[in-house]
Amino acid sequence: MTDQEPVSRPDLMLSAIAGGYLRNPVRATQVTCADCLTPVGGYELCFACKGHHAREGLADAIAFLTYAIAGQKSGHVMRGYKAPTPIAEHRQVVALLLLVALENHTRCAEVLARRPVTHWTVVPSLPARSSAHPLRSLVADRAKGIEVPLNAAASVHQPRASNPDHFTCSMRLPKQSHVLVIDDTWATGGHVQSASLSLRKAGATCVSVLVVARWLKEDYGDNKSFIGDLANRDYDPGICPWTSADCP
Amino acid sequence: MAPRMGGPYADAMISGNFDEHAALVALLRAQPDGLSWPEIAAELLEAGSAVEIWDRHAPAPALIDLPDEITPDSVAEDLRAWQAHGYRLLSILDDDYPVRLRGVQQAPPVIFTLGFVVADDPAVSVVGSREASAAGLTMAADLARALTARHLTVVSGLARGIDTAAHQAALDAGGRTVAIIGTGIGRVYPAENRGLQNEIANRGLVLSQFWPDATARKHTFLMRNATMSGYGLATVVIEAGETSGARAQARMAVEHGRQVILTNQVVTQNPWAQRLVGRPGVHVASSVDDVMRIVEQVVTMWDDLRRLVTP
Repeated sequence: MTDQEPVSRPDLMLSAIAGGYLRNPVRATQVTCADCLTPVGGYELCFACKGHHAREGLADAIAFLTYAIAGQKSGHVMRGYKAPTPIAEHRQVVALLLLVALENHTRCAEVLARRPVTHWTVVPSLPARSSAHPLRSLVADRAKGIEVPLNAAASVHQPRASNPDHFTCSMRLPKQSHVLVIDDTWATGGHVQSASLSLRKAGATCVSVLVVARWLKEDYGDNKSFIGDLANRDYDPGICPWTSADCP
Repeated sequence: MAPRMGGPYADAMISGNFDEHAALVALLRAQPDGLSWPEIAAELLEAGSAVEIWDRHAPAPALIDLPDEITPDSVAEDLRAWQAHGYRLLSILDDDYPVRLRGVQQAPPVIFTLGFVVADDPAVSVVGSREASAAGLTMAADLARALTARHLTVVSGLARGIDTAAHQAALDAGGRTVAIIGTGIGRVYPAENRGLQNEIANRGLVLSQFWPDATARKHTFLMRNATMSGYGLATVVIEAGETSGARAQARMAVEHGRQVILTNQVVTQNPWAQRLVGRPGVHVASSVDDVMRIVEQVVTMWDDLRRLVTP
């Protein structure tokens, strides 16, 4: 990811160039979904996550680094970083988010799971695309453990549903393995949960998921007032993405 | 569609660009499927081609030729007329489009320019009141000279007061200055700055995000301030009141992830500025030297960021 170490501290740079528009996700029972941190009006889980829970083998823990709001700069960044001609500033912001999360908070995932991270993977696009995933080059030198490549199915009926057949894992995972699954944007969670199910089939003991951004749209449910309340809550890179509070 | 005249579009290499630009202008005029300009900009960035977006949304062709139907063919004359005036049209997808501006959510899908385009322009906005004090005008000019000495571009909005002082001082010092204007590129506001605008077009860059014949409106100035914030590394506010474009630009710069440098005096006199202090990327400076120290840190930080991610 780097050809030279930065001089400035990544968390300080992140705050300086993106603190005004990134927003730390909120974990509050019946205010946000226990799994995906989208606003829920008095329920434990949102509709999509409730659907995923019909399956065994979902992610054991899920971390989100920021909300990405459609029509605002945070949403612009999550699209621009993987545009056909990627926007350099947007790649820098996503890289900083991941750098801070992997360096400062991989340990938090290990504390929660009570076992070290042994493997990592990036969730591929669905259906399969030939080009490399834009996230992979940003995490390849930073993630702990061995890469477990996942292959996306060539065609799927419902890409947003959780289904272990959407991805195949090319290797057999050992006992006590703990896989860190990294994805860029969570809209319904189908991709990430399908990846978790595939990794379980391949033998994973524990699956922790690190998502850069939870996508939010203003014109859905009560999102507008929720987003409005975030307006002045500038980003704090010190907040643990696994707990949305202090590190465990 | 083939270009039929000389100039930049005559080159075969660029005729693909002509088709792209004609499709873009048709999209922005026709706004098929009710697409807003920001939505068009977002689709362009994701698809990488205006022709593709036009084909995706184009209204079904009428059975008979309608005189006012907007198509890439019907706007070709306008493209040629703009070219004949010397205006350069840049799509958000063009390599020469300002790189930092592309990074903000209000990035205009199209801009018109007169002068020298520098895509990766290390620039700082100097903005403030139209009715500035003598001390404010002096500080704007001193800062413009200091930025010029550091080989940084002085961006401002061609308004009276602080803007005019900053542009003029940069020109006088032989520096690069960019005027981001609130009218179309074929107009001047205020009229007294016609000479200054021409001088900037000859030696720096005049940039407009509006159709070339557009007149100034209140919202065009606000949109222009968003563009100024996005274009540069930082916005320096020198003397600004409660209802100024500079105030709006400072707020937008925070939302853009751009640095904001407020003078002591701006903070002392304005509750809005006091509320900005402590927000990410907001700095307070008491002198031109102070501003330049902060600018130096900002330049260093972006050099670090460049090394962080290889293209």
